[in-house]
Amino acid sequence: MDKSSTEQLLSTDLHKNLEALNDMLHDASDLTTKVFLVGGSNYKVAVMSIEGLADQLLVKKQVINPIQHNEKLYVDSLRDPMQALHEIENRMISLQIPTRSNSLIELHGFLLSGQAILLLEGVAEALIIHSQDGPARSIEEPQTEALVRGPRIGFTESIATNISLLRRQIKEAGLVIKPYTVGKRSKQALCLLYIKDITNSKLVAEVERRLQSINLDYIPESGTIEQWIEDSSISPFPQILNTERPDKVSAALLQGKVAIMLDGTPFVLILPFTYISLIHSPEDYYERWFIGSLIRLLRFVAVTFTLFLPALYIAILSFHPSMIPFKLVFSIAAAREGVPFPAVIEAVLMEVTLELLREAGIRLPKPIGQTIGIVGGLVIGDAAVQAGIVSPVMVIIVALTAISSFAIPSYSAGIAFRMLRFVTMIAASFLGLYGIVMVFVMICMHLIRLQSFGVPYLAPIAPSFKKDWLDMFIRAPVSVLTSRPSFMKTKDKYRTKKR
Amino acid sequence: MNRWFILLLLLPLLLFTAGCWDQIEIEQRGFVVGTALDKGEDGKIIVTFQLVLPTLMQSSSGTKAEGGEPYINTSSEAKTVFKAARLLASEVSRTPYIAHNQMIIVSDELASSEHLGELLDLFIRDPESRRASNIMVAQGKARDILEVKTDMETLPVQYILSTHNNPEKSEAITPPINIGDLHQMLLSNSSYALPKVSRVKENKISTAGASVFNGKDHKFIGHLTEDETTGRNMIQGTVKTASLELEIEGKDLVVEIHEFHRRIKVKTDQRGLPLFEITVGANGSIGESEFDEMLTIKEMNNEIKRKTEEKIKSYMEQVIEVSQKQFQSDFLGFNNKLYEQNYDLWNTYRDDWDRGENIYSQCKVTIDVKLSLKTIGTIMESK
Amino acid sequence: MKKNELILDEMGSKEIVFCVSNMIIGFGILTLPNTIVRTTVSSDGWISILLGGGIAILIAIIIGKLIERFPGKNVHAIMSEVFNRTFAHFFSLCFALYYFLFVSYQIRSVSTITKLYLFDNTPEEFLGFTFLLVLAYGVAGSSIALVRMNVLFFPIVISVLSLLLLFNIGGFNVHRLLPMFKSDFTGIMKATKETTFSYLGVEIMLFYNIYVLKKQKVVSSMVRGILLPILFYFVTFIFVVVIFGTLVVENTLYPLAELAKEVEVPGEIFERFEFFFFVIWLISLFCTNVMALDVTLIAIGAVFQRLKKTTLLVILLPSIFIAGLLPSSIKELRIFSSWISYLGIIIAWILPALILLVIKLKEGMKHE
Repeated sequence: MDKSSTEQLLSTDLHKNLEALNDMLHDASDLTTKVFLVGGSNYKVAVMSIEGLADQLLVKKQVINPIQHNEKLYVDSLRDPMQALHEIENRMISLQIPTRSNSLIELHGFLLSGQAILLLEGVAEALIIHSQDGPARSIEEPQTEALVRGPRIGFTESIATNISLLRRQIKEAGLVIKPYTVGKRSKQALCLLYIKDITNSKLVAEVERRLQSINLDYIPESGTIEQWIEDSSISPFPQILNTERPDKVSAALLQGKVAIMLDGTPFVLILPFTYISLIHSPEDYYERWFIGSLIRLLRFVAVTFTLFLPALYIAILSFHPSMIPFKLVFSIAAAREGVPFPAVIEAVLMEVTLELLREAGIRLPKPIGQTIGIVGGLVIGDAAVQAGIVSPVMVIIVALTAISSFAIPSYSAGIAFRMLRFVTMIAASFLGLYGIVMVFVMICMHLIRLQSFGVPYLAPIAPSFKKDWLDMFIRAPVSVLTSRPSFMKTKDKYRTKKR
Repeated sequence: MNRWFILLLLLPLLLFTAGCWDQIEIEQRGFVVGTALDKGEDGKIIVTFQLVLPTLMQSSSGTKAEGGEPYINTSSEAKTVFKAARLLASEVSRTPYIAHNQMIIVSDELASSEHLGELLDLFIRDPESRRASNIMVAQGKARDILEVKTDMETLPVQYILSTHNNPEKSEAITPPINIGDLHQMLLSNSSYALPKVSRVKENKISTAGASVFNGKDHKFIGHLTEDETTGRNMIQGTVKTASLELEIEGKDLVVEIHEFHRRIKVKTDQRGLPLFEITVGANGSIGESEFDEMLTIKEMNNEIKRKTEEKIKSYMEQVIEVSQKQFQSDFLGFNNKLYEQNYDLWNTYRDDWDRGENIYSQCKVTIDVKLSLKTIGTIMESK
Repeated sequence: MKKNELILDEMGSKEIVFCVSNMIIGFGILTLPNTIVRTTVSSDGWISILLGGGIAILIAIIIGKLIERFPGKNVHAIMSEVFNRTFAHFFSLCFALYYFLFVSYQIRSVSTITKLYLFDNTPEEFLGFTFLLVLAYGVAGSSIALVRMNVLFFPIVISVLSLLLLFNIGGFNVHRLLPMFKSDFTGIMKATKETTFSYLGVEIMLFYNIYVLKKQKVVSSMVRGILLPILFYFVTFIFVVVIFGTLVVENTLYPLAELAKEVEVPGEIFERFEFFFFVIWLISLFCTNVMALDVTLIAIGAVFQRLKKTTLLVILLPSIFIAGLLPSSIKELRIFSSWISYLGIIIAWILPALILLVIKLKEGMKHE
């Protein structure tokens, strides 16, 4: 068979093949090629792999060495090169050989996934050898989701590691891991995970449909997938959860949710997602129910604070000071004497400063980052008060708001609230308490209309599923939490074994 | 076409830039914590506001602020209260803000010449004003009351308030009346009595006593003494504790009443007029005595009881006499009892109760007191 | 992207109860004690409240039975089935007119009260305009979201109202309940008329029946939905009379707001509880109005089926706003409101009753 440029197939000439592959990869410097002879014969073999993607040591030990030092099989005696290849595959190579291929494009794809390919002189087919490995981060605790009590493992960038971590938690055969390839040029590996007997099949079908509609060159992070497949990208609220923690993912899978893993990022997506999950953290389940419930309520208060506290400050101070208790009103008024700006400007100024500090803090290296947080907050705030630009009460309010926003377990939601806070502040500055009410109503309406893969965002509050209230703002004792969330419409309703 | 349409729709949003009509920064408000109304010349009213200076109120470091008092009293004079308040606004650099007004003091001179409702109309009607502001009538100039300087409280108003809020401790203090209650009293045609405040010394005021208002024209008609106020409180049932001084065999004895309840029953007498029966039940104990031996006290138990019951009865009779004969106004609440218990009879006499025919003055009241005397304190003898 | 529903858009009995309750509790609760006390003596107004409630329950049963027969269809579709389309069109348009005026009246009242209690200088029109904009946002989505909003907000509204009453127990003076049963019959009847008006709102189910998919006990849910407002009106009335006395109630425009002013929050965390109360009450009013506006849109949309929702909104909203501004004094406002109430009773209560009657007659004739 001749090499034809339109079909891009292998030829029987080894050197031509090597040339063709090299051309495809534009003479990449990390493409290693070893041409050698099969031990005890004159057959030429070439093994190609990309350094860094394929485990070179593995390839050397398990492929090149056995073939080179082959003494048992007399390959020359085999008249047909195809037979020789067959023998090599079956008797000499100890690694997995998933498939063979003769298409240059496919081979090129395999090479780039970290596989090694073996070419034999005289055969127009190549063996694909499974040899993926690459530098990977060791497993460490996720930074943004640290817990006091709980497993200190987090996902890494390698999808294989991630899948293995998950398999260790759920040793169930029903755990379906469906592979996909996304990204026209980047050809990243993506996996869809769910538990077959639990998850509603309509949900799975919908997720698959949306995944298949992804039409991009390159997917840098799971966030891109998130925005592509979620119901509404305009909404400030996230409709898909992302997490680095395997325990969160396994808990979600057992609730009937679906997970998506993307190779190259440790952030795994969990969907569907409801508003209640914003204030849930796995730690609630690891401690006693009483503590879990109280802390959840605390987080709920934190959410309220982070949204409305500065707005309330503006509204009450500028529009309705009659609400302030008699004994407090004078200290507040005294604190604001000499401050040149109206309460609105003061509030916006401080909030923007805080956001700047936060952004800056992320990019600075660890030791400096911590200090800036404290120093920035305290010093700048104090200096501002001394200079008479803001009042001490404002500093307290802003600090409280910032702390509350950190108490929200989900970072993406925290961002949503930070932005909404400014909206409520502006509304408060125009119409005081009335403005806040109007914005609150609008936010509620938006939340009610929002859906995440068919599940209303505010389930189980509206529509109301009484059974799920046990796990909403409070966390009922473990013995009571026996059923899965009913809004997931799962196939298997109970967590416990029926006696 | 679509774009312009949407733009047209968005235009009204420009209204938002027109401003926040009600946004007033908190430090620009002048917090009025106390108001005093006095009589001026030519039928004018002098309005005095007690404004707080918040910076001088700071007690954060614990030391008393130097720089003077944390408040100022400013006055202005005009025909109506509203006008006077506005005049004040033009003289003071802050917008007067009455949402934290703790009390309104009216001088008796002013109250006797003007209809109380008209005087206080601003405070009742304006939604900004606080419903819980207390009302008091001053003996003498109301302005003087606002100027009482005391060391215990930062503001005079706080001092007046805390003194006034001790009805549990003294039976001669009329329970506080606020604007909400006053509104009720103004709408009904019955007479009533408001708390009285008078300046006793440079830095002391007394809130014992009451000021009587006639329900017909809501004008002030007179003050009640401490004893009369005690009687009134007893009839109205607002007495929580009381201490009564008795004299037995030349020695002084104090009986402390712990519990006090009264019932008023409305019956009809032969003339067809209402007859009020007051039944009082009380629990008391000996508070302080000049007697030597406990034994003596034990023997005198009945005597003490009798004398205490008489004392209670005399308080009530005294004030009933005053209300029926001297003031001819029912500020003791009998009218209400009649309304509750005998609606038809009330209907008959409603226009003539304490005006016109003055039916009230002709009604008889019977009082029956039952006291139970218990302990004698923790010691047997004090000498 | 096609919507994939895991949860169906439907109303269960809980949704019906909350929907009806929230719709009824609106503006009426603020002024009701005032209007009742004018014609009755002392605390006898509670009789009128219960009588009016009885009438409302009757209507609820009638409407419930009507819509129970046609699950999933709103009254326009029902009419088209039972009579003919022209009649259905006529009915829907009248209904739309009723709710149109209803919303404009409510917007006007909301702006008046908000200005009175929350603000000082802000023009009323502006407040009403903002309210209208938020209503528009609410109506722009699907109706089931509005029903769910009731489920979300109603418990909050009820708890705050209960808190309000609880805090006021201190001023409870039982004596003010006396004398009892002294009012005359005409007085009670006049007051009953007013109370019946304040139960308007149960007819909302005529249109939201499109979400009642499963055959279920609609009647009992609706009756339960009315029981709550009856209880509430009753307790509020008693409280208002007992704490203020009938004399004051007669002279206060908004007794419930004054009740809120009376509250002294324990611990003095904040003064002026009435602001808190107003916030909650505004939310409840919003729910009521957004449903009314939605039904107006549905009703008109059923007649003019090719009209796009956005066009309809653009025409309706300014008209509602301007209609609300037309009455120029409190007296005119009251006349306006009584017209609307009469219209509502005729169209939304009496007509469906007649329709049910006709249906029953038709069935009776069929069987013969």
